[in-house]
Amino acid sequence: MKTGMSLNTYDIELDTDVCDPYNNAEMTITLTVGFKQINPAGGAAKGTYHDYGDPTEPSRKITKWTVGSWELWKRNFVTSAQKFWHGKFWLVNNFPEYEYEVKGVRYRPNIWCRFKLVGGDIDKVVANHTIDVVHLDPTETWFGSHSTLYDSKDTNLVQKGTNSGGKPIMQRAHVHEIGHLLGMDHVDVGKPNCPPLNTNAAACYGIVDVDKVSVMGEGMQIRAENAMPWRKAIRQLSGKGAVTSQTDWAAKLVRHYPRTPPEVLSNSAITVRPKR
Amino acid sequence: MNHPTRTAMNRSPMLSLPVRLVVALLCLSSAVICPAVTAAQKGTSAMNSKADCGKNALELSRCMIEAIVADLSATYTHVGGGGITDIKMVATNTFTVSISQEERVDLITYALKLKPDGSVEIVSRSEDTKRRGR
Repeated sequence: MKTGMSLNTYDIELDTDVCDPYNNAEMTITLTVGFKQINPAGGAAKGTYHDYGDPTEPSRKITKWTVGSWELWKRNFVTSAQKFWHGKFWLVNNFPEYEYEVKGVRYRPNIWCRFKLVGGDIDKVVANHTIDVVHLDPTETWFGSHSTLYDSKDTNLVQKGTNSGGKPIMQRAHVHEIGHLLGMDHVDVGKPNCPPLNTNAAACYGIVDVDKVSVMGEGMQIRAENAMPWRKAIRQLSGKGAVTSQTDWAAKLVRHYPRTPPEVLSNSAITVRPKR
Repeated sequence: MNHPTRTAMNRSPMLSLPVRLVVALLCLSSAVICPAVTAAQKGTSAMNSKADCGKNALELSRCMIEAIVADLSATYTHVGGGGITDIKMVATNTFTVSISQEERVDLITYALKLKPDGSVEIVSRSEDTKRRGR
């Protein structure tokens, strides 16, 4: 069975056809991004563009996108961001939902979280989000980007911060921004150190190392709470559970195999391939 | 977001050993960098010749900006981004520094004062953020 729905921000689909004694149901979030080139004014080969697209901010040298550089950038963006977010979480099914039988044995599947990123020119896709992209001149090392304005170097791994031991914290900006497009806030949103009216404040990116290194902080580390978009999706499709609950559709970072009724009853976590 | 009021005098040394070694090397080759960083290490506010700071308005603002930059070098950990994009005097002896980052601009405001001995002292520091984009 395949069920799904289109939300404003992305599409969700649950596939239970893939279920067997070893394979869980699959929840796929498909995010479609429409990219739009920002080129130097007047068709020139070189020009400038301001940080954040704001004329009051410093300008950076940009160059005109070529067909080759544009296609390469889009491909790199899509493949690397999809790889980062795809298949990282398993949601433990604590409801008698989607159960099935194989050779007389009943199984309860968990949910494997998949991510599909579709990126194309804005005039060729029906996009959930539109992203403007500047092509930085090779002499430029940085550009002020945000969730809907990227630069050609946002896919590079760069230092964003420093941990308490003075070691660099590195991040590829685009995977953080895709996290935002999936509905995730900065890592410390909701904590006292992050002002609720300005969740882009520096403190919202984490003030202790374990938070700073997370992908929704300044680093690249995925944590279970980043499964929230998939938890919301399964909640929406199944009508069961609450995302605020610690136990409903609990997210795990390791594979959890489907469970038999005795395994469910004993609340076992099957993380090693069982003999079935 | 406000940090407690503090003076340059009571700051703890924050430079790590490797940084201090680099500073020492820089000191050998630069007469300009050496006094400023050494001052920060020792927790003093004397960024340069004490007599210079009160000499005129230009020297006073130079001393204050140097004190601010030294403090940022020692305390600001979000070293990615576009660096300092603006230093603006927003009131007498008060400056706001803008540091550009992805999605935001960090605004750090310093109040300083001229001490009787001719050096400058950081009286307070507060942080704010200008949200950009989303």
